Amino acid sequence: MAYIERPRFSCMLGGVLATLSALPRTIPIIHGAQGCGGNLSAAYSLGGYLGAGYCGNSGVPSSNIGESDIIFGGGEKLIREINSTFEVMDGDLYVVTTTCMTDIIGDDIKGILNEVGQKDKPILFIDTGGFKGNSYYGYTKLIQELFAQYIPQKNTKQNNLVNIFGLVPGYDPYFRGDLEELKRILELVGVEANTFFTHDQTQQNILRAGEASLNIVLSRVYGPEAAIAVKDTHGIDYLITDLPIGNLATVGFVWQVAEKLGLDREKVSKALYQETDSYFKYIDRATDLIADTDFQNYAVVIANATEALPYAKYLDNEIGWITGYIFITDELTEEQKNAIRQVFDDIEFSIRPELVFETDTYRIQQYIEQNNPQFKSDAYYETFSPAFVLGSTIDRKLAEVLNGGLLSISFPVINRIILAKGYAGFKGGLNLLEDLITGQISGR
Amino acid sequence: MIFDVNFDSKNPQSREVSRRTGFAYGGCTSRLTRCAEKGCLNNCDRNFTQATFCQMMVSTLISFSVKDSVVIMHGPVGCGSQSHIIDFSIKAYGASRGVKMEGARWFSTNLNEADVISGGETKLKETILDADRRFRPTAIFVLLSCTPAIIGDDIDDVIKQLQSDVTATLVPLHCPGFKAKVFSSAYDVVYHGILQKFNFEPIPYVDYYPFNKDDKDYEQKVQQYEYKKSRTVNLYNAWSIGPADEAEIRRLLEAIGLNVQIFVEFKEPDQWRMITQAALNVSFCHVHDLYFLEFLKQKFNMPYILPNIPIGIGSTGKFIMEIAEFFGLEKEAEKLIAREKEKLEKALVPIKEKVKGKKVLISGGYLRIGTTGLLAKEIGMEVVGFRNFNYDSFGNKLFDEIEETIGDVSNSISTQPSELLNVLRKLKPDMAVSHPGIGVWVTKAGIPSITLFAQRFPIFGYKGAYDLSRRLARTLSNSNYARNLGENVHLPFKEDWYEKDPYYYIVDKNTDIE
Repeated sequence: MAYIERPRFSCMLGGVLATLSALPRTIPIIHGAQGCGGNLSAAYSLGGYLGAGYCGNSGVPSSNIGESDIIFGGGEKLIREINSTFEVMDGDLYVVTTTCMTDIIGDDIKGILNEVGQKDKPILFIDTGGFKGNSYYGYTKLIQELFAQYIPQKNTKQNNLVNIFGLVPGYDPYFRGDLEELKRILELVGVEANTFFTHDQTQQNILRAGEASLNIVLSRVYGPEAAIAVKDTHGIDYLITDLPIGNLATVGFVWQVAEKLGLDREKVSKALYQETDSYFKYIDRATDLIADTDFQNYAVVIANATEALPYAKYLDNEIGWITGYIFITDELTEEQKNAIRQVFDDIEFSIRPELVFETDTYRIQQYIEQNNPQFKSDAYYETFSPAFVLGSTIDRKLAEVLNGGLLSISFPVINRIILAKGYAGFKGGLNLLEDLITGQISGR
Repeated sequence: MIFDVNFDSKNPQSREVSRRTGFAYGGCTSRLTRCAEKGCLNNCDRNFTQATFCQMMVSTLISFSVKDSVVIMHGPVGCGSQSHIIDFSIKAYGASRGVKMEGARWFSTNLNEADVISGGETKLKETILDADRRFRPTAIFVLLSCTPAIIGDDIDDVIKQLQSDVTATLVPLHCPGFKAKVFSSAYDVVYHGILQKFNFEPIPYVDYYPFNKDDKDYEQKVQQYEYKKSRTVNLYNAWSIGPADEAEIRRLLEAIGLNVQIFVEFKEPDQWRMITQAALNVSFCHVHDLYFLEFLKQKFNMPYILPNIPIGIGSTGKFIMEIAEFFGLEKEAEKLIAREKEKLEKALVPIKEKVKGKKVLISGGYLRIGTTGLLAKEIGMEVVGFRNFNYDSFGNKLFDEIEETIGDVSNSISTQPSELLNVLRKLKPDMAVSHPGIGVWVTKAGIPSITLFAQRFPIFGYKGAYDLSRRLARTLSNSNYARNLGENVHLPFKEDWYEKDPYYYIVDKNTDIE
């Protein structure tokens, strides 16, 4: 893996801390230097100002090892830290995470946990040296470890209970709104979902995850590995699919789930009809504005491997925009890229966009400037205008070069705060249209 | 005061070594200052610790604020990954200083498991060359994080090899987080890199045209220049200091007849060559720049003074007066201060009525919280406690004054929310003034908090004193947000923790300080 200009993710520990901050009443215990917890919390917070959460940022217990611990080992410090944490911090689940330093010096965490002994609440360990992977990898590993160490295996499954995975807190900035909406939609067809991260969830939902009959993974690359492992250990079937945005994608998504679970088709049809009907009643009344002005834009989508294609699909299939470029900003293996390419090939685009894997912000702009005809000097040429960038706030410069709008959909999101808003599902599709049009009329 | 420096060494020692700076203490002001004086504050540690900043994170601040720089985080991809947020700040606050900044341009060398085994120097070289080619920056700061520091990457050697191949000046910053508990050590690290790699004297025919000796006005021109230099003072800014602060202190110093130059942020390194063209160096906040001022004194014989940060009426007056004394401008300063104070005092009357007797707790860097406390006292508030991020004997001049004027109140060295929340229950302040990252915990406890600093707001000088007072009063006038939050949010601390001493986990080996 090469160096990266302005990477749009952090390290494995960063992803794990973001994820733990969103789990109900969970206390991380970092074994490492004092800065890891503070800085990585500051990083995940840039997913729309996610904030520290219940026990994030400077609240996270951290063994804060120093130079002498690097030489003599940090085990004793960690034991003290764990014991003190149980005295001070009030949680339902405690998770020890390691860092680059403690992985390099090789502290034996499992041995330390044995020495610490039984506590009144469960305590897990996940090996999270930052150099082992990025934040998305950390998320995947954590889900896998929760199943391996914490979630009981259940032989009898609940027919209509599913778990939803694939969205990484902070690094998928709209994860809360998206999960809430998908949970709502699944409830309409009689399916209960454990999301782990929405506010209705408790440790009971996590513990009950072993009773689910389906793991739904909303990402082609972040989560499938865990779902496959869980199929072996817990016997839970999986559905690897994409984040559904807007009417078409969401209807398709619900049918995928319905088929997997063998739901009553009539009931599903009825529920979906009502949702679609309501959706288009909103679109109906937006059309007065849309039809009177040319709001059909050329778009550039810049996002992670989970979200880039779903946004591009929405723009083309749902609202009839022309997506010129899709940039995926994660560092991916060739195998992961192929998984993405396959989904890309299956999407029916009116005009097929260019799919580019590019981690560097500067190179994204450079790519468009070097390849788009509007930057070449002929009298008449196809302009990329009006343009709209669906990317990160750090793509503002590109939006300026294209003289277009910018909607921050991907990490880091700095120019807006994200609370309950989501872009997934029916409501999310409406939210997205609302924001795309508002972006073009806000000067009125 | 304890201050061990060696500018010739590869990298500076952490402040817990060079200044015996403490990072853990709980008690009151008098014992804190006595302990700092004896140099034994760094004997305190904790048996329960929470995450905080590291010196690498703090090192990014000046590095990004140098005009048209590039910052390379040499480490795994998480180190420095919070830096996106800096982009908007340096652009916006550069613009309000009249400086067009390029924004935060940075790389991660993205070290992985294979690099940990084989070393990260090759990746660093590639990154430096590409950063220089892509952006043609003025300087490239290479920040050494924990991992490459442990595996033994030699960034100095890499820089030595590459310097002749690039246009930017390459600056090594030895800032692995584990090497310093006192994260303000970062300022010494950054200035050490700067003082090793840049010049601070103007170059003839580049920065100026030397006067012609045959010119009939030669003597007069030299005298004019020397006179101007003898009336020029350098101030040193920092991340926490805003454009309005700089403008206000510049206004006051110019009013007594001085020329003001401000360094090092929002300037190109080339402009730093004018640093020596002044008679005196003064820090706005010497927690940041003392290391550099001492270097300039040793190398260029430039004197410096260390007044307290100019927040509040008294501290601003003293800041101006200490500088005026150096230049023999006491009378001018006295007049100015009297005039400014009179105007301000009138304006503060209605504010004082609103905040009278209200209790405030202040957290952050020691100079800023101390002077902010004095301002609160000046407008009639009751300061119930101070929470220093770090502390050493350079704060004693200020905190001795505080003990006298405010009293021997609760005082600690702490970044820990556990201690903060516990102390809040005991001190029951009406509001808090908190360093960024801390206010969220205060607000969750149902107590309103405003930020200790933000470049958006004027804080220094008389204008700043008025504005900060006004914001304190405004915050107190409606605390519903905090109240609602406090009533509905759950904090991650066990109920019996609040019954313990807030400093229960502090291990203080200093039994003899009384």
